[in-house]
Amino acid sequence: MSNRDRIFKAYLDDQRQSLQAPLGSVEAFTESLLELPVISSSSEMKADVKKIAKAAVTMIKMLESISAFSADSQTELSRLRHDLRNAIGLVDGYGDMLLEDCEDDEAAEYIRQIRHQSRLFQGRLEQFKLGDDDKAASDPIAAIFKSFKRGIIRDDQEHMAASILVVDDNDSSRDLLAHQLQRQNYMVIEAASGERCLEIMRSAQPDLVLLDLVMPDMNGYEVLQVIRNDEALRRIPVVVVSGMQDEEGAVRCIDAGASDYLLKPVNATLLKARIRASLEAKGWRDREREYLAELEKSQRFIRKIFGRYLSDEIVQRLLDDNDGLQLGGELRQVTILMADIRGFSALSQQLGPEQCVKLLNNYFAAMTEVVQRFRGTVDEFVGDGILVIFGAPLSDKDDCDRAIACAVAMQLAIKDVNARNRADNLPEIAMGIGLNTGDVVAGNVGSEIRSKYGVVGHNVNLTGRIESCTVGGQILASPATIAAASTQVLSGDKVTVSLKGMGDAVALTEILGVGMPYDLVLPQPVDEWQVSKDQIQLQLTLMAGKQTASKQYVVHVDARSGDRLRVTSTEPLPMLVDVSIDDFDAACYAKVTAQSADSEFEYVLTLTSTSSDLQSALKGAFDE
Amino acid sequence: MPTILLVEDNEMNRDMLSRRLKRKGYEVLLAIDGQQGIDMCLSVRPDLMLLDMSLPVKDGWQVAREMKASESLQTIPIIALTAHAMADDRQRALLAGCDDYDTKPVDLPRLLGKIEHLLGVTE
Repeated sequence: MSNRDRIFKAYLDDQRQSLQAPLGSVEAFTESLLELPVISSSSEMKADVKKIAKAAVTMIKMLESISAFSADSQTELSRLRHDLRNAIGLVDGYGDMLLEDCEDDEAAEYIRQIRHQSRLFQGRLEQFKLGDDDKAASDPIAAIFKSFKRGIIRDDQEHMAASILVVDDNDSSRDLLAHQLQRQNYMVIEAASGERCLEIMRSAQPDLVLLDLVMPDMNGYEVLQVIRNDEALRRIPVVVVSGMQDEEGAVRCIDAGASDYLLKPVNATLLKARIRASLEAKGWRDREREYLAELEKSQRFIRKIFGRYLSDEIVQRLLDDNDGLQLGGELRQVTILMADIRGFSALSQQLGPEQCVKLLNNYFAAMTEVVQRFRGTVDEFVGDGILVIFGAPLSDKDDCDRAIACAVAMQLAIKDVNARNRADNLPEIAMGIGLNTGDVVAGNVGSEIRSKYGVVGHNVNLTGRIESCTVGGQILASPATIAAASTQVLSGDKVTVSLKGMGDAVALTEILGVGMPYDLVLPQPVDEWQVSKDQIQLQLTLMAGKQTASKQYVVHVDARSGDRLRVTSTEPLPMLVDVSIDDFDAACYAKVTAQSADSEFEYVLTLTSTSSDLQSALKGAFDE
Repeated sequence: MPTILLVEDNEMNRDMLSRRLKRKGYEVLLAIDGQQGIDMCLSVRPDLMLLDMSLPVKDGWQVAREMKASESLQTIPIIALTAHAMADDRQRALLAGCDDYDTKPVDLPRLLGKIEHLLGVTE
């Protein structure tokens, strides 16, 4: 699934939930209505309430189909909207009739709530759009803020009469309290024992509990203990009501988790005030919890969207930073790392598409893991190439150091990739890495429909050219990167090369390792030069397109060490260029990787792609 | 009191809307598809027809066209009801011969206004 599909799906889920929520409330209100004697005693009203409930449940089910929508499900949406308009009309219609029939204030309030939820639903239904005409669907940030807002701006109309659980083993004092509360328009539930109190708290989740302390079997203190150890119950405030006139008892109750304490006989005004205070406190806590849950949800969403190309730490810092989401274009100094598999085009021709993808996945998975470890931003996977940025969207003073260390660690990790490739019956690979440091424009680049965080600029292109100078296993860095490094860099030979767009010749540094705190060193190839027995001559053609036009050279092979050949040329060879080795059955490539300090015409060629034909020719010459 | 024929295939909608109209004092007759709607117009001649446009057997558009083509039935005013809110639905309904048009979910006071207006015109 592409990122865009993922965003679209998240948008649909969000829309579905926002449409289902008011319908869920409608259903809940019908349940409350059915519990009222005034409704349950009239068969006609009862039937109408049930019809409202049925319509709400049907609509909630209809809405499930939204999840399977795509951006061009216009016909399906139109049909769904048609059916929903029909069904919500039932809620309104039966609601209006009930309102006409019902003379009970409490029932009327519930019905008005149902009408309110229905209007909320209708508003959302008309606003719900698919695809490109709605920015929210393509813009994850807008979608996130939308869901944020829903979390913060709550619908105050949703406020309902609070429910209070009165717990007392004495029937008459329980009745008395219940009556007082009912007169104050609270919904009252009664329990005659501690066990029953806990049961009701778990099932009905009242807004507040008035708890008598002295009861047979399980007394008030014991009830408080259980509540305190139960996370779900702890959220419900408990006001203790007792005839025991001692302060110590009050303290014990508060310690045990009660939110307030009242003495019998209960003063009505005091009872009212305490209840209101406790409910208000609970309201704030509930709201905070909902807000946090909403925030968590949004953060999970951000993590999902950005997680693929930013390290966990950067995502976290973006989330912590209030302005973190404003990823507009800006000029930034960054270190750019470009890596790719050497000779991948030739390799991919030998492999089937399935194997090719498997190989790339092995490679990308391992490399992404390393990049995240060094807090780089994987900006892009292009074919077999990886573009990593250090210093955007967040910059740090060790950006350059981490980039260098990351490059070394990536080269070291290729060993594991190859172990897995061998296990999967895939060829081994070698990767070259180019590093460069400089200013780039970073930001959300792209069109409105498809945009991503990325970097552009001359320095990005230059990194690509540096990278194309490498052979498998090699890291080359620009002078700017070496200058910006504050960690100790173990460097190999400097190679001067003329790069397009760089004007004069540039001295690229081969990086072999990095000092503390990273302490990583590449294994060095052992120089075991084997001198050739027979003279073997190779014709090289300079690869066109990269630096200069194609030209041919003839060289003699003098010695060999692994993939490297020491050759003598009849004329000077340009450095770090790719050459094809002609006259063999399959395409063979090498790169001019070094020039002898002693002799002007002596060079080292590193084979980047060979054939069995070339291998056997070399074998013959060296008599291996 | 005037008689209204409600042509609606959805049982719940039929039940709800007919009861609401009865409460407003109208005599309400019911038909569950387009053909039945036309047949009832022929036999009982209602004062007004409330016609849902998405009906089985014969849809509302067809019913309206047939009613307005029939000499004996064309004087019965028709209010089209649809849950589609396409911009051209209203135009289509009027072209098909409907005298007025309203959308679902039904806003009863608005619908009553249209009913009263049409009945006033014909009376």
